[in-house]
Amino acid sequence: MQPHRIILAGLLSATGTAFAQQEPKPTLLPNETSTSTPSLLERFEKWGLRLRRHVRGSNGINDPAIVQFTHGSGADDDSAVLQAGLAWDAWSSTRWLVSPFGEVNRNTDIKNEVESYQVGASVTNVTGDPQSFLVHTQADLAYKKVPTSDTEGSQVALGLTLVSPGLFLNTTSGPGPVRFAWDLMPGVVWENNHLGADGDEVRGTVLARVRLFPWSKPLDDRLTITGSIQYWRDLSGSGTFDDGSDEVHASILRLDYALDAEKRLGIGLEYFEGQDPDAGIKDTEYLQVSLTVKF
Amino acid sequence: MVSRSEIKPQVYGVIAAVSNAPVGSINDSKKLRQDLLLGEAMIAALAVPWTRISKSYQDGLPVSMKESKATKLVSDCVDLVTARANGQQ
Repeated sequence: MQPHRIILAGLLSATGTAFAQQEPKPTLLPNETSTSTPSLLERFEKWGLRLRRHVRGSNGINDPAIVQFTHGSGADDDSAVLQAGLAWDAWSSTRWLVSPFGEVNRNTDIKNEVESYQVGASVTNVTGDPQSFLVHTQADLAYKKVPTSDTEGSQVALGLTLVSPGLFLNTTSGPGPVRFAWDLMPGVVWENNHLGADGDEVRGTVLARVRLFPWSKPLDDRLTITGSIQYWRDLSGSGTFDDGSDEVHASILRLDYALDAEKRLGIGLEYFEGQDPDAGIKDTEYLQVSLTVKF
Repeated sequence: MVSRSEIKPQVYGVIAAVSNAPVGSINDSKKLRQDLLLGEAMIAALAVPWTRISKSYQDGLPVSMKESKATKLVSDCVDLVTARANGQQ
């Protein structure tokens, strides 16, 4: 584990929640069309573009991209981080979605230097009905280049997640002024790597997450406390994955406060501990203060 | 022609079921993410029930996951399903 460090970060998201907080639009009748010109950001979203921290894995695919600078006591202690993935929902039907993507992960910290780039595509399928029981399947095919370890090659990942509103998802009010929601997402991931050396792995995973909205009504849900823990257990592994660590976890505790009514600007405090094999995050621990901008 | 008022209670019923909220608490101005806490994958998967409702009408067209993902408010969902049920792209 690394010692605690405090870092200041800017988080950017080019979709997500911003437009959801606009005032309700006047409802159009089916044969009416809007004459207003969409803004560049509305077009960005309409085109199906998503800017995220990671485009793969359960953690980070809903988080804003991150640009961060850490100032240390010496010149060598200064470091910068860029974690950004851009995905485009190119083709879609009722149950299928195809999304090409690109991702950059750069950390100049001498003790934890990372430089990786990947391009690829995700194919998503949903089977079942979201009202009862849904199987969400995502296959990712990527070509990855990692200059820090002088490797490059292909990666294939197949993830199955079970979603059931009654069983695994719940939202409720109380006690008192607190509103809370919890969800539980079990799944299985198969990953095949040709990065330097070959290998493949099957891992079972479960993500448990609780979100609290203290003083929900008076604050209009501006304050959010999110706690999540995700476990992965290796079911089989070979080659590069045969590393002796059969069980890993990632714990995240996050406090967010929206500065404006539309919740586009906010400040956040995030504590992360553990590792995330889906997103390729090595064992680490940090406390991060951030300014978030969602668009 | 299928009216919006005919589609609305069907859409409200689906949203109430997936968000575990009482049907009476659903209205057009509810935000899918903030108020009902639906995630992106769930909103995209709503294309399945939207298509089922739309195609139960003679001129109904399917709704894609991308179109469903672009909805922000309950009213967006009602408008989308009404348009597709009337055969409008």
